[in-house]
Amino acid sequence: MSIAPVSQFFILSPRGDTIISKDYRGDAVAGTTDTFFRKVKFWESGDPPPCFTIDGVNYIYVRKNGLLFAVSTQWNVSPSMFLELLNRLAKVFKDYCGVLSEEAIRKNFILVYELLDETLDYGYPQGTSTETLRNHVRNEPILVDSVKSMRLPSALKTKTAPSSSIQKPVSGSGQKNGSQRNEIFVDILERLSVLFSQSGQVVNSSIDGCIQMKSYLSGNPELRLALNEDLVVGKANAGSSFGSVVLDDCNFHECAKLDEFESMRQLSFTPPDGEFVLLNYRMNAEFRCPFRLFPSIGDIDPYRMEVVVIVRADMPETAAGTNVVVRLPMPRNAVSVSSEVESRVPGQTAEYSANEHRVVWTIKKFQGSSELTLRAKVTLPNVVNAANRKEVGPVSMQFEIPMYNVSNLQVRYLKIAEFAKSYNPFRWVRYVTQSSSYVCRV
Amino acid sequence: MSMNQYGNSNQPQRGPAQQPPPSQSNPTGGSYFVDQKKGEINELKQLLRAVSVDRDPKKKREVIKKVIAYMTLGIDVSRLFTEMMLAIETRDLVVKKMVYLYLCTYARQKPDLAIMCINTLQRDCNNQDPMVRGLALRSLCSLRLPAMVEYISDPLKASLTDANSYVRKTGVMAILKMWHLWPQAVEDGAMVDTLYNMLQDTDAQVVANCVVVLNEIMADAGGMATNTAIVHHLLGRLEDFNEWGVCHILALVSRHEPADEDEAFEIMNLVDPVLRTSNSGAVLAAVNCFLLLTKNMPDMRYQVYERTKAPLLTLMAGGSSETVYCILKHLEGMLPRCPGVFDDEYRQFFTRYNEPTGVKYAKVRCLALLADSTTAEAVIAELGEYAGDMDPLLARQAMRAVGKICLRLPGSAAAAIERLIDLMGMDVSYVKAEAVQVVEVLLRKYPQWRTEVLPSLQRCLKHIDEPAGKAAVIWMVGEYGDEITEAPYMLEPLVDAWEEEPSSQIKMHLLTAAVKLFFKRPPEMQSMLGRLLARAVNDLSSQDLHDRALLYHRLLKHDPEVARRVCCCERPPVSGEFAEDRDTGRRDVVFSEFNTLSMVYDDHSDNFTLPEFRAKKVKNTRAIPGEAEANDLADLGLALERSKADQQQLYDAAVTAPAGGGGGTSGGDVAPPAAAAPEVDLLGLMGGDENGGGWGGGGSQAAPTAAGGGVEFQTGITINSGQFQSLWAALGAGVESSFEMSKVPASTQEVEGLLTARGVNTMASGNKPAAMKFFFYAKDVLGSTYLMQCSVLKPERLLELVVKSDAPDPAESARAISGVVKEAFASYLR
Repeated sequence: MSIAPVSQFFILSPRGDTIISKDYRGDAVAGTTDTFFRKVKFWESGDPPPCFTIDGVNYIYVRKNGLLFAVSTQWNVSPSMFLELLNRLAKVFKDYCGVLSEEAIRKNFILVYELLDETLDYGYPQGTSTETLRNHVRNEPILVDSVKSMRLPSALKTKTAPSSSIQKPVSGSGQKNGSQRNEIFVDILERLSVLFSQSGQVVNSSIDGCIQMKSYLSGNPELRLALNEDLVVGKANAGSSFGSVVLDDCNFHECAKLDEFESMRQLSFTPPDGEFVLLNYRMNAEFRCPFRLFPSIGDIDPYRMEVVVIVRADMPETAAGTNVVVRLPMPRNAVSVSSEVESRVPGQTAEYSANEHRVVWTIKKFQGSSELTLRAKVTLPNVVNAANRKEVGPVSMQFEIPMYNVSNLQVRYLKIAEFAKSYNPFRWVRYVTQSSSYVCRV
Repeated sequence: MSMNQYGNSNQPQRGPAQQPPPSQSNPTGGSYFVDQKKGEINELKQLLRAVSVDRDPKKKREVIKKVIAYMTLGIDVSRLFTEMMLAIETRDLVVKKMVYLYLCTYARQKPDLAIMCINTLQRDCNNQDPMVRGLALRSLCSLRLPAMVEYISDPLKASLTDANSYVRKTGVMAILKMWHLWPQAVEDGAMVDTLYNMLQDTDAQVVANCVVVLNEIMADAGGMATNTAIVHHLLGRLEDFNEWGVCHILALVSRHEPADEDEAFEIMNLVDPVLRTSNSGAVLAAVNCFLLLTKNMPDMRYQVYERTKAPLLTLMAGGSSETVYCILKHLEGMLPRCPGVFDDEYRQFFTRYNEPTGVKYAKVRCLALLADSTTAEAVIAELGEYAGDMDPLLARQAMRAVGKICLRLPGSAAAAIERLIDLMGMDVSYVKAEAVQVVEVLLRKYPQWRTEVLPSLQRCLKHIDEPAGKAAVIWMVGEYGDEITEAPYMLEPLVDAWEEEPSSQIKMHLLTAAVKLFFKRPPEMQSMLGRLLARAVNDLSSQDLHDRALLYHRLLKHDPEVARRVCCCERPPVSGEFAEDRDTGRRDVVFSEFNTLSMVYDDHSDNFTLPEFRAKKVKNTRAIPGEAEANDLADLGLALERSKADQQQLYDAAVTAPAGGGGGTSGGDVAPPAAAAPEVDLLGLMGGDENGGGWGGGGSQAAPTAAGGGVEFQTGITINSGQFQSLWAALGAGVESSFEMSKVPASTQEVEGLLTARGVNTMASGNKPAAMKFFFYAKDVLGSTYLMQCSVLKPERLLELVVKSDAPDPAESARAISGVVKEAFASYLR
């Protein structure tokens, strides 16, 4: 029975306070938000799963910027559908409030209730696209200071945003014809999952990419976006096409029309308001890893060992990694750890966190074609043994590389379809490569 | 909004009200704080009444917003009800919406006052602005006051034919709200028929809402009844629906049983594009459709798994961790059903360091299912790495997965056991403990590997704290003690520390192991066993232990040779899998609820939902659309005639007044989507021979039968529903008879089976709590047709039969066929 409604929607703060709570069907069991929060907070082992059931009530929730967005229902619903719905609602709130934070939602609670009234009726999802909602939403957003409230950036939020306009809400009809600039932001975002073996060999590597957009074009013209002509989708179809970009698979936003995708690698679409992901893609083929890691362990004396991590930026000099963080777990019984980085390259720090048993090495800017080294001396209470060595690692790395992508997927052009209005919008096309899970075993 | 938040003095200060938190200026806390709030509510009351506020829309907004702020914090502002109701008369939509929100929250507390605002709401239902009309109707129905029903009916009816789709879709949902308030009102208004007609609305959201509403109203009959025409109509318009609509439509389609393979393929082609979308709910719904459409086509099913592989993996790679978790849970159910399909993508299931634990565990379990003879070694190596993870649960699951792979693929035993022996040497107690448990199981199947394992046991025993791990080592020592030189001396310290050992699991294993070892190493064990048995017999901590010790003692005393045969019997080596892994029945039951929470909980929905929230298991294809309305087929015929007439009227209106001339129901807005669904006859009962076959209920397979009562029926005949209806109407009054029953048939299929065997075919059947209803038909060798309506009244235990026939002597032949039916029902009759 996967056609079934939810009874409640609610947003809880990280401390468990109810910020928003809407009872759609009048059948909500009393105290559900408290029951829910207690369960999430005190989950028996590991992280709580996104769906669970207590006394016949099912809870489905997602966590966004520390906030909990949840629905409750007594029906056996489709969990995926409602998880998608929660993600979508969070996006709609972000589109309308500008940012997604506790403060923004509290300040705009009337707006949020208004949106909730339109997006679900009697527990069944209705329209959730930002532009159709616009006709029915009358409250103006109250802006909050975005810098403060962006304490916890979402995975897709990057520090390299070209302007603050990405955080401005899609406003009501008022501003539409005013001073608003005709601009569209296109991000080609690639998240890398790479696993290196001890010897630096790539064990597993994949790219999850997406083309994300945010449109502020007036009149919602139809757009055309063209990708590499030699793009191949599906390994089976790759055949002899050497040198071309081979995606394992991809999926599309509902607005995308695929008539010319197979022949010309061109998508036509009318961009919805607000942020949306036009295309998700996945690639498993070998690619040039932007960073390579070479860890090694040596003994200094019977009670001390030295762990050395060399990181090499295997990309052109023009590119650079930013916000690089390398985490190096140490044996749990380590007495002390002293770490050291090369002083010739500024903007690096390495600190040992005794609570987490790991060295955290941060590098502000990691230039392409360069190499950096971390040395950590570990003192143990016992004579160093194999088990201690086993506890070192795996080294994980976090980074973001602006204006660089590894898949070679490219936006050839983005233009307004001929028959639509002819004006020249500002196009901000960015390529960003991020780490998803970038790990090297020691 | 619960009141208890009010008592918490910290609560309101985090509120959205933009004012300094009052509790900070009032360190006295709780009780004083309440008073202050009361004061504020009075202040708000003043403000709402103030003329100056009334004139300034901006100020008014602020005041009302403050009221709503308090309300959403759980503070009782119902005292302002009267003042708020006065504010409802406004042109400011923002204010209006807030007042409606307030109204919906407090109407149930103040039903008498709520009646006062009815007028305004009703008037708003006729407002020029469609948004206001929709809003007012939604609020009107959301008051949840039964007393409102009479006020709702008219605006509700009007909304269904509104020119604006927003109002229509709100109206459709309003039917459902009304149905919960007062089901009779929906039935009286024949709204089910209306909803079926509205499936042809031009606006997809209206159609989607019709589907969910019909599905909920007909939940007791197993959900919305469909037929081929409806399914194809909806699928033809699939692109028009938004993603939630697609989810609902596909859920409906998955319940449809295609007439033949061609229809199944056709449906799959229509559903296929959904697999390319990025909404995981829609993709899983599409996968579910594919799985159900191919449930009788094993070859196709394999292709279906292949087809769904790439989309599911893409969702898994790019989705948020929550959606990934869901997908993985579904994959976990799919993998055992399609061995080999996903195997080459095993790397996709390697965990990432920053994933939630649930995702990691699910991936590990998937890896156990994915490994094949070529990849086993790589997978085992990867799982071996997880065994060193900081998270003990992940480490354990990884080791169990290694065990599972090894049991399934004998070729991987070398790699797996080597890896596990490695882990047994690791300096972490729980890793050792889990590793020996896995090894213990593996040795039961591959005893030849014991020589590799046994040397490391002694070290393990010392360092393992967990009872289960220790018990596993003790079992191995007992089982293979003759090959471990120091075996007796490994057990001795444990025997001597018997009193300090709290775990009866360890004690139990120790007892058995000691007895087994005694037969292998009698000289070294004899005195130890004596001490052990004495202690165990006197151990009062566990009855089992005491009894078993006594049993061993008496056995040994009676005849050591017999005891040896009992304790150290030859066991056939384990071949194939263990019995507990073969529990496919339960898994099948869970898998039948694909794309629901059942898959995530790995449990059947009956175990976590209350009875009233369960899907009713009625075979959908046999229920007739509009059955909720029709009490028998004659009525049904009328209902369908009417709906057809309505459609015709609609069609005419649309053709004659294409520019929204306001004729008929909703003007030009409702032109039939000719291109998408050329069939105007949605219900499919009026014609369409190809549909008739689907309803025929297997009559064609019946063997030639000479039924009792002198009637001989033809086999392989089919009559479609349209013919049935027209014939039923043409034949006039039938012959009625009734029989008392001793018991009621368990299902409609049971009855249909009995009649099919006698050459009588089923037109349609339905099962309701109070009655079963069947429509049968048959043709005798002389060419006369017989139509029957047969009702089983459950509470009365009565079988009622109406027979009509075009035979020359209807009365006589009716009696004959009654005899046939009576014979078929023989076992149920008194």
